[in-house]
Amino acid sequence: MSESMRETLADVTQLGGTPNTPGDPAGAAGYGRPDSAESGVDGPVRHEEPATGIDPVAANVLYADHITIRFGGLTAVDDVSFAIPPRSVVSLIGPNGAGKTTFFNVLTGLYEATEGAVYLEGRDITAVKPHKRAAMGLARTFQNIRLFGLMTAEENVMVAMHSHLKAGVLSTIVRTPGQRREEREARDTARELLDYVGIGKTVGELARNLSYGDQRRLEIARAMALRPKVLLLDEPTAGMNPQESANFNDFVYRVRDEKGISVLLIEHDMSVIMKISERITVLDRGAKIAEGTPDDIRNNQQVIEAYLGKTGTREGKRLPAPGTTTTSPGTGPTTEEQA
Amino acid sequence: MSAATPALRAERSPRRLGRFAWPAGYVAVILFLFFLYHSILPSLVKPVSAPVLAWLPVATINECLMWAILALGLNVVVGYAGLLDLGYVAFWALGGYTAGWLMAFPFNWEWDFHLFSPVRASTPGTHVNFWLVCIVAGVLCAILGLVIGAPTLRLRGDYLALVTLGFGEVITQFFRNSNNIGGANVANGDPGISSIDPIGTGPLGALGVAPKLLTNSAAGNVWKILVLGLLVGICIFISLRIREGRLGRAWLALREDELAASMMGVPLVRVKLLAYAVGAFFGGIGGVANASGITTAVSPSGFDFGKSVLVLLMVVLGGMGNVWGVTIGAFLLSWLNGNGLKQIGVQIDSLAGTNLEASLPRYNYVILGLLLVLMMLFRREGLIPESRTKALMQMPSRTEAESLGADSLEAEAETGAVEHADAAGDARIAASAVAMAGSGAGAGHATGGSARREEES
Repeated sequence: MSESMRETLADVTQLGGTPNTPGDPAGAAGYGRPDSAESGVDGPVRHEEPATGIDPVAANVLYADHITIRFGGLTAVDDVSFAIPPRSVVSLIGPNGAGKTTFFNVLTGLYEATEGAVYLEGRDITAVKPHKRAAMGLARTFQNIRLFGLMTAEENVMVAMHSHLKAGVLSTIVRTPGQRREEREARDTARELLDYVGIGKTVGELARNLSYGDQRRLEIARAMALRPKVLLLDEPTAGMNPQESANFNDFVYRVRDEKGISVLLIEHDMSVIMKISERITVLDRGAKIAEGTPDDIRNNQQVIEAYLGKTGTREGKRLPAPGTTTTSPGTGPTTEEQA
Repeated sequence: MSAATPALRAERSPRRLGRFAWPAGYVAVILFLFFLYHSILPSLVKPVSAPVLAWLPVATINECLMWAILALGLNVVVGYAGLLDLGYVAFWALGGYTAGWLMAFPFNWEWDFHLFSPVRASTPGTHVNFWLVCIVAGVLCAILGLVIGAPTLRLRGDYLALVTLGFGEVITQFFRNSNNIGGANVANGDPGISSIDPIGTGPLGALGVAPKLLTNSAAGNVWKILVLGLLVGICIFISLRIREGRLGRAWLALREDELAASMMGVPLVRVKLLAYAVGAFFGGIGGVANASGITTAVSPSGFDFGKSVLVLLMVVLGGMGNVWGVTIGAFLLSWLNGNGLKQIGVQIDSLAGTNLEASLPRYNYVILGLLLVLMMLFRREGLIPESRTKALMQMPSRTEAESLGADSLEAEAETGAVEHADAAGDARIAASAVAMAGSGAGAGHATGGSARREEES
């Protein structure tokens, strides 16, 4: 772990005010559930909080430092810093076209950031290729499911183990004892992961024949086969009914607590995010407009404006609190199903 | 888990037995052909043996086996990894020329070198053992594959196909001009290299069981069935083994979704290069088998673009990705191309009094093209498709199905079942039809579910 104090970076968000270092379970445990709000900030959260003297690169599993992405003259993401502390569930939200997915793609390496840097566990991975980032522990799922449809569930999971397995061409042809053991262990791990996400019975099914919900689960199992440090979920509850999405919340916490994986969610469904996240970052038109606990975000004037339009035109409108069921007007992405 | 394990094993054991059906069948066919031509046919009376020898001469069997090596190699690139390669002939050519360099009388240099070669030690020129040359040619081609692949495999789809097509032509042109590469005669240019050593039989020859050298004589050709059959067997074995391992999975994943594969930690360029190298390795072996076992000579005119297309046809018609399908595709097409069309012509001539014996083989590409069109219309997935491709071609995916109406899907499932019943009494096809009907019902249920969800909201 790098102990160097990075003056230039120290102005970046500290989460919850709790000092955190990787591998410090006490610090990690300090992250409460959304409702145990810590140091609620009133009003809009500024991009730069006062320096607390903690190196955000070292303190966070994943840290994106002042990312800017331009496509030609269009600035899709403008100077956004973003941190994922160890063992946390954080979210990135924003109206359609806010730059969420673009930002996500910078984290996974699909896009190159025009400016800024990405750090994974203190290492600068800005120039690292996507597949290497994945091998280093940055796993993702896809908004529109991208499984290997003609491979079985088990094989799908085993593909993601590619970077952990060592067998070469020759040892595969000869089938050396080492290769056999490796394959057997990989197969066992794949089955365990499928059990873990609750689709253990589908081992031998082709992925394309699974139900929609099971496909989403399989995507998560596949991502977890990378032994990730951070799990990036792109709109994971899209198409789920309320019951499924409630189960999903529990599942995310299980992943965080049992496996020690940090989870980043991208959603535009506010209701999911509000219930699940410890920390929320709101993007609008490529810029970070707010950051804080769900309560902060709920009361944040700028966020409300971004989602619902300027105050004054729709006075009194509030983003839905957890548990309530409000259907937002057309611009709002909230789509609460009534049970 | 512990309760589930024995059940899983029990499920697997019949599949294990089934696994040996194809390999055992292959060995049986090769041995049968060998004994048929070695001991049975010569002892039979002419009226019985003549038609067999006319329709399926030994030389044709050997050609079929040689083409199977190539088809299996291209199958790794096209069938497994899903990279369209239109210049596969390049590797075949380099393999052939490697044999020319290492197993022939000198065409330019006076350097005598013998290494486990069956030819007499006094023969001038370089003479290396067939099996060693196979390995050398395979490795050389794999390296050429890496060299060609490194800059081109970053391209996708059509672009890759075009560039490989170009490389196939470049290699041919290189050998065409090889009598003067910077003043040096590298491969004798247009005439090429002739009188390449035949395959030796080593201990079998020494014992007097087989001829010492497998020349293009009747006895030599019969024994070549075993040698080439063994080579094809090795290629099949390697294909199957790699397919089941880490690399095979990565290839399949790559074929299905490149982006998702890279996001799952699969290094795309590396994995593609390996596909190319393995495919090229087979191509090199095929080249040696052809030069040493069949033509005993190599020249640039033998390695035209048409050969690349022919190999690709074998892979597509046989069933991309399925090793056995591809082998059978290769046998069938190379038989048609080599001897089958001529025999069909002879047969038609004797019945209708036409003169097709000479013309039918000349229209081989027209006929093969027609065959391809028919295949694409009626059996897109190939003769013996990979189970996965079959699923893709014959069944809508579940998510696709769920976006359709339940009724239309059930109707589709029914018509599908009828078509299958027509096709053959094949139990496997029937089973897939049943599965299809089942999936129709399942999809109907699921669609009902989503409709209910819509009502609720």
